[in-house]
Amino acid sequence: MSWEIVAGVEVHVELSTNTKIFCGCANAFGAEPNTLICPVCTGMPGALPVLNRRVVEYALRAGLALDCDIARRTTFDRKNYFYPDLPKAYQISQLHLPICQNGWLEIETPTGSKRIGIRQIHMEEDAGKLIHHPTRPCTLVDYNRCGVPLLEIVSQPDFTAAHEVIAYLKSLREILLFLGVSDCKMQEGSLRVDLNVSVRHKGSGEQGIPTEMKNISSFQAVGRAMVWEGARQIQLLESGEEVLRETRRWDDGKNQGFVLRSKGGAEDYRYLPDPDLPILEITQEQVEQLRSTLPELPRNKRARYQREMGLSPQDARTLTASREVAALFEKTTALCQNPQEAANLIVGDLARLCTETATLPEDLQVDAAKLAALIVMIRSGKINRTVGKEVLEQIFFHDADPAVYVAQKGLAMVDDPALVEAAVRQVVEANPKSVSDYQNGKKKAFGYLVGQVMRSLKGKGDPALVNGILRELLEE
Amino acid sequence: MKIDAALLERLQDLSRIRLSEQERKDFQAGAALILDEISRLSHLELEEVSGRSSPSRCVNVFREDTVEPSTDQDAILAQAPDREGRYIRVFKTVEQGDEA
Ligand SMILES: [Zn+2]
Repeated sequence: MSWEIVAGVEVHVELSTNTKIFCGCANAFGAEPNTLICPVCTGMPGALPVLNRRVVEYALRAGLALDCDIARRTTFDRKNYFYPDLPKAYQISQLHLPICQNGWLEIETPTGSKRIGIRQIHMEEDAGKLIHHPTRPCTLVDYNRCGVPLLEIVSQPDFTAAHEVIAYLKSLREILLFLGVSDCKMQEGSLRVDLNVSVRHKGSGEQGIPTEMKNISSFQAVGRAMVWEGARQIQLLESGEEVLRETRRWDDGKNQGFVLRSKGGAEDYRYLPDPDLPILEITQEQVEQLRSTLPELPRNKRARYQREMGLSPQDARTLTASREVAALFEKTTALCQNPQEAANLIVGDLARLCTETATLPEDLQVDAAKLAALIVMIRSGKINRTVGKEVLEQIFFHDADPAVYVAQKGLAMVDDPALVEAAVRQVVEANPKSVSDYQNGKKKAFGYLVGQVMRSLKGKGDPALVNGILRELLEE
Repeated sequence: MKIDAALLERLQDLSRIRLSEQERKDFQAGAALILDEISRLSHLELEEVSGRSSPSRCVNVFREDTVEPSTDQDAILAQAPDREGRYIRVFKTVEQGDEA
């Protein structure tokens, strides 16, 4: 009988609020150790947490974008455990009444789209950062990250292939970026992925014993971890052994997982309602008000770009890979009224410049008005495409104004009929052999003569004008 | 309530504390007293109250997302038993294989 690997993921994202979840300390990455701490986020006796309003707003935005049911009443619980990253010895989280439940996210797979269930989204605080000394038996503790707001987004165990998990993670990241609730930087730990894997006989619908792998370093690594762990479990079961409920660590360099510990159940954490934090009540009006302010999400944008602007699926996908690029495309299109040209410029030469200079979408500083002006100049024949590339580079590197740059450098096409005619006459006079060749039926000679005219005009002759005038003179 | 050897073993694991034979005896006796005291709470009539219900009487108390100065850092760090620069230094407590 054949096996099926089943996986679910838990994604933790740090929210990009100004302050921590329960105190006014700045929420910032990379500060000097233990400078962003206060009695609340370090759990000093008597300190009281007060909830950051924006954390709730961000949780609701994520919940609405993922089609969740929003709780009318939600509360915080304490999750107790001893570890030096947690000065209170408990983490404030949500177990009993999470803010969002029962959502879903649709992903694209080679066999069509598939709905992945979102079991719940809850708010919690991040723990501090531990730096284990490589040789000495000591650990350095930095509490700056303590109390940074997190959303934990828990999927249903709906994945049966690694590419589905990767598609889900990419799509989820995209949505969170478009919502502006997190910067989702895996390398800075603001997006972290835990993977639960179990196996079962294909089509049996039974639930195997899952193992958990924490904090996997990239989306591709999540896929590799799922395949490896599934294979390990199948091998165990086929040789008559059991899968143990454990937490494991994925080592992507070694392409192998290692056991960390047997996994504790919820009862080991002695969850209890946090008496310091008031109950949260959310009204229908609040939910509807927030829903009306949600931005258009990437999936909908892609559909609209194809339907209304006639773009290819590939272009639509590239343009919606980040909020910044989509915004640039939409602004440029609105100004130049030419979505296809705007798309070509952005996914073509501009994307190439970004790659060459390792510029991330969020750092892209290009003025849509200047891109639009450039497109209008190319379309109207004021400059040719080669000059267009040069002008784009000037916009990209120096924020140059296309009209000013083209005028200063004399890059505009020569579209004055008198100037073109003068150049054509000179070439005709200087090349009697080619002229008679053409008149004797050698059509190739025409191309040569056009080339000569273009050369005398330094490549900037308006091709239509050059062709027309040359033909006229030769037919005389 | 009696703390048997198995429960004690589990508590040691969860709290990551290793007890000597004498400490185990003391703990079993002392903890039993505490648990007996706590068990008096089970005589309260709480059928109507869910274990999940919040004891808070307030609803919707928020702060705005505005940075305030982080206060008392030095006093907080002074509470740490050991330091290295601005870091707090503790014994290495690493799970096997979790050196990353
Ligand atoms: Zn604080």
